[in-house]
Amino acid sequence: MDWGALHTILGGVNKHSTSIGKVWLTVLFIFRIMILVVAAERVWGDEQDDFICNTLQPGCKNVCYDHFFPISHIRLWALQLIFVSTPALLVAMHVAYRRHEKKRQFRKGDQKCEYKDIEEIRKQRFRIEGSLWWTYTSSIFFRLVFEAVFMYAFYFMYDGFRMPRLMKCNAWPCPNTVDCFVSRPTEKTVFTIFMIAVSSICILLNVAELCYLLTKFFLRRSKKAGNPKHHPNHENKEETKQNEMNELISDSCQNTVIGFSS
Amino acid sequence: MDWGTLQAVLGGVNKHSTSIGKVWLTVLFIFRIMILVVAAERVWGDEQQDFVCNTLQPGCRNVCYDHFFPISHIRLWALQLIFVSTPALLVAMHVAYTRHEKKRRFRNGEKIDTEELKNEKIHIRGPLWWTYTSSIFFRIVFEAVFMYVFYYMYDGYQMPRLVKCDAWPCPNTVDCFVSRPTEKTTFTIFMLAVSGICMMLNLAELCYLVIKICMKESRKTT
Repeated sequence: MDWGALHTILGGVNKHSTSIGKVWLTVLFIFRIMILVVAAERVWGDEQDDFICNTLQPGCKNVCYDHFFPISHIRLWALQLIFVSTPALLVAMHVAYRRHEKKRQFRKGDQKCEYKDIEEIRKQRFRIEGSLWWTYTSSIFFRLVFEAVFMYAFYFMYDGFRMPRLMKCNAWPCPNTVDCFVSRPTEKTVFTIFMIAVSSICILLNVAELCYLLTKFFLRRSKKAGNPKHHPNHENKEETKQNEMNELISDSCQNTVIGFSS
Repeated sequence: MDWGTLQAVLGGVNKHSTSIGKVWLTVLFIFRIMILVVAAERVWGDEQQDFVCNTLQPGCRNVCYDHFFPISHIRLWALQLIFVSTPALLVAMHVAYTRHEKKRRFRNGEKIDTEELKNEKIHIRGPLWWTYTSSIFFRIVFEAVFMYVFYYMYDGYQMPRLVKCDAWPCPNTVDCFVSRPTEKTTFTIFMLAVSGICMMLNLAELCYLVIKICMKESRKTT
């Protein structure tokens, strides 16, 4: 169970996301997870080994390292990425539940069910409306909250986003005050700023997606309020079906351009 | 055979679980196994190398490390996750046995569609209910046992910065310093919290199954 497995799980969610959601997922995997695995882990790899203190006192280096780095940046980013990815699983569970209900209706032979076979139910892409809209919107809200919380935790824990070259340590058993030197401070500062920037871009994408969903919801409500006598009769049902099919076709074209394989 | 293989094996069990069971499985894989592999193993990676003792006496560091860390946290978590995952295999075996029986009846001439048989979701009733419920019970027992073992072995869940060691061949009492104690304490508490959540989910699932069967029994009698 590693980042690849998370990628597989979230790839399935991609099918039911909006376009902004798909862009967010791409940014998450390529500019955050991949950068973490391919680059950042090497930069922080020797963080304790090459943390050098100007003393021969045994134990002083350990204590000073622990004092200045309570939780390593790498671990904080790993936790942040896991927490930020998991709200999408709420959407996946909701979609799976809906599919399960439709399959149950199909097996019972319910005449209201308009599917010809079970394969169609499996491949169907659900539109983001009704209860799914609420699940999707709350998942975006939780993503935003987690991103903000982790960015604040970083800022609070490390007094800003810059990695200093030198730290003065006077924790026991260090004698008086001891100078300790951090390994690769400039490279670490660059990567920290990069990850913060991409984190902010992800926050902006989530805010945009939230606004888009809210706008769509209010527009739909105002259309319903504006046409109170609209009843879906037999001819209109066919029109609605044709519209849905057209949307599905145009969306599946989008999927082949941006989407992951599920 | 690694965590990925375990995921493949347990993924099959997922189909026959209740909704709470599915949530439990997701929490297990994402918040426990993934955190263990991606983060915790790096934190504990240098635990013996960077375990420093204030002495030049050869062998003292080894002895003190062994005295204070009889089994590393990482190994205990790996064992816990394996033990907690395996009761689900009881359910998988029972389902496979039920399917095998149905196939045998089909071969003996009864009319059952084989494709439908393969994809059929078997309901949690009768003997399968007992198997499923006992698997949840064992999960809860294993979780509790491991949580107690952790508490007993490490005198709580906090990793101290300094341990005082007087095991032979260390001269008198020697100060030994643990590597990354704060980060280790954070991850220990995190894993403990998720363990607690998993136990709650298992208890909820157990209650749900017991209530379901009691309601079914009362419907039968009325």
